[in-house]
Amino acid sequence: MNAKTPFWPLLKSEMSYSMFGGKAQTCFMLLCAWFVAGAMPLVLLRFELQILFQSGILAIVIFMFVLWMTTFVSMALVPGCADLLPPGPDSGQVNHGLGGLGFIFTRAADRRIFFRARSAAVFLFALTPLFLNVAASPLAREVHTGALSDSRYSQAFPDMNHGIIPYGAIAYTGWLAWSATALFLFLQAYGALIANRVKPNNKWTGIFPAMPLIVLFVSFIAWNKIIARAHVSFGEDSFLFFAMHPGEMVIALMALAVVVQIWSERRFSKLEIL
Amino acid sequence: MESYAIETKNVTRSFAGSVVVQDLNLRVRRGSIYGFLGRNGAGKTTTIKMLAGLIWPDSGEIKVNGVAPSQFTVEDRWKIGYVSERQILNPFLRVSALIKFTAGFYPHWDFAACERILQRFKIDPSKRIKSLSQGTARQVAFLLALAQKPDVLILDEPAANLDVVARREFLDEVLDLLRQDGKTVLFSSHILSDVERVADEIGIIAQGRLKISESLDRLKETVRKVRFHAFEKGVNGFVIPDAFQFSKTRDEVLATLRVEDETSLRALASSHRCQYEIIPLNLEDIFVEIVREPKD
Repeated sequence: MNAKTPFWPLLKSEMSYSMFGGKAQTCFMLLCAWFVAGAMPLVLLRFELQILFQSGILAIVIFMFVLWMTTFVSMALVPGCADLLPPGPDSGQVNHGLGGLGFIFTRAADRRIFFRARSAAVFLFALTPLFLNVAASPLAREVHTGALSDSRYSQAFPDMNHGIIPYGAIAYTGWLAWSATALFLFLQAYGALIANRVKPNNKWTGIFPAMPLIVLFVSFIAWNKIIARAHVSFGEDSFLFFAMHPGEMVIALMALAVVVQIWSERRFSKLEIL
Repeated sequence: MESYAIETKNVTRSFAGSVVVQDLNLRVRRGSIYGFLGRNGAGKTTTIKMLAGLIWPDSGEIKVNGVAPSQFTVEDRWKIGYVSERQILNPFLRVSALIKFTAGFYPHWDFAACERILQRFKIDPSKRIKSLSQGTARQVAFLLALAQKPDVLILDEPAANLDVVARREFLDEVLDLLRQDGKTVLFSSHILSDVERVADEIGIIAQGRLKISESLDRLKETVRKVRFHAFEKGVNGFVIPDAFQFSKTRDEVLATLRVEDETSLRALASSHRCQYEIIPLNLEDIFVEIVREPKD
């Protein structure tokens, strides 16, 4: 008999507000999500891509998003990090920490299914706003390219007329959702890689949440010092590339998701609960 | 079916370079209640976590119900119940919701046993876990382990945080479980009166090594504290290599040792021109004598 672990009760349990340590923390998390959510910068910037790509606000949005996602993923998927939280009945440590996992790890539940439920819960909490924005983007105003109307834009958006991209918001919100999903997968893989090494009460434990930010910060500096001289705009180029090859990019992301998920589940199922 | 429900062979585990469990050879007979004793830091919890599949040994083999914990399938988990030393339950769930959630993983969940234990421990199922006292939360953890109808039940300090009455009721539950054929219980405890009351086999671990593993009756019958008193020449040269404890003054030797039969004791005494006196030991005394660091 091949026993199956029921997925939905686990997902329901992981989706409950309690997994984030109470209503206040959950509301804060969701507020952060909406703040950095896809359409927001575009609304603030009056739907002009030039301002978005050249004002530097994109870097701020990326920083905030990475900070938020890293905290989110590390607390939920790296139990040693959850143990950084101060103990208490309302602390996320209770459910996410190693002690909390001890309960589910000693029940007749497949750890891989449990991890799937937990990562699905994190994904839904963190990225649902971005996908809602994609869904709502056909209703958004046209996007203006501003002074960016070069041949690459014409290639990516054949319907573009005098710098106005009809349904450009779809491409923009899709690109943000795609990038955020890729970031989520990267962080999940990174978390699965180091979860067994992140021990509670260890001076190095706090390094995990900080590391992607440090890498990002160093990358920005390197970008400005070296690559910017070559007049390459990573944000704009990746946006245009996504707009030109949306189908391929989505398929590649789905393939990546499958690989990362299987690999992460295997790693997580071997996690030690000290 | 194998005769041992739990078996370890030369199991070693270290943390940060310090060996916590060393060459552990533990055998728990199917159908027995095994009391696992040791001082704080002796390696009890580490051993139990390895048995429960929460951590892995650095070397050696472990089998619980004939399966290595690293290979446990969901079906294997149906048959192994576990309550940890500090069981953390979701504090936001009501007891009834937690039972329902946990029952979902077990096709043979015993709802009648749940009901019976809830009544026995007077637990209100509508209460949230965070509103329960530590002792009551612990009783809920037992309930969840018992209601899955395990073949092997592993309990780490089960009586911690329970008052005397609740402890007694818990022990009755364990005995009830044992009355069903083929159940095996391994539990660690500091409360030796509980162990004495329930266990029929005892394992004593000290500094990560298993010092004793045998039936409680045999342990109590054969481990003795003996005072040897020299008639004339003193006790110089008097040595008992296998003694658990050994100390001597000019005229007297005090040793805790295994005495299978008094003939050997008599022979030992006469060979050193001593008379001897056996000092009775209860389980607590035996435990202390075995785990205590020898005095200089």
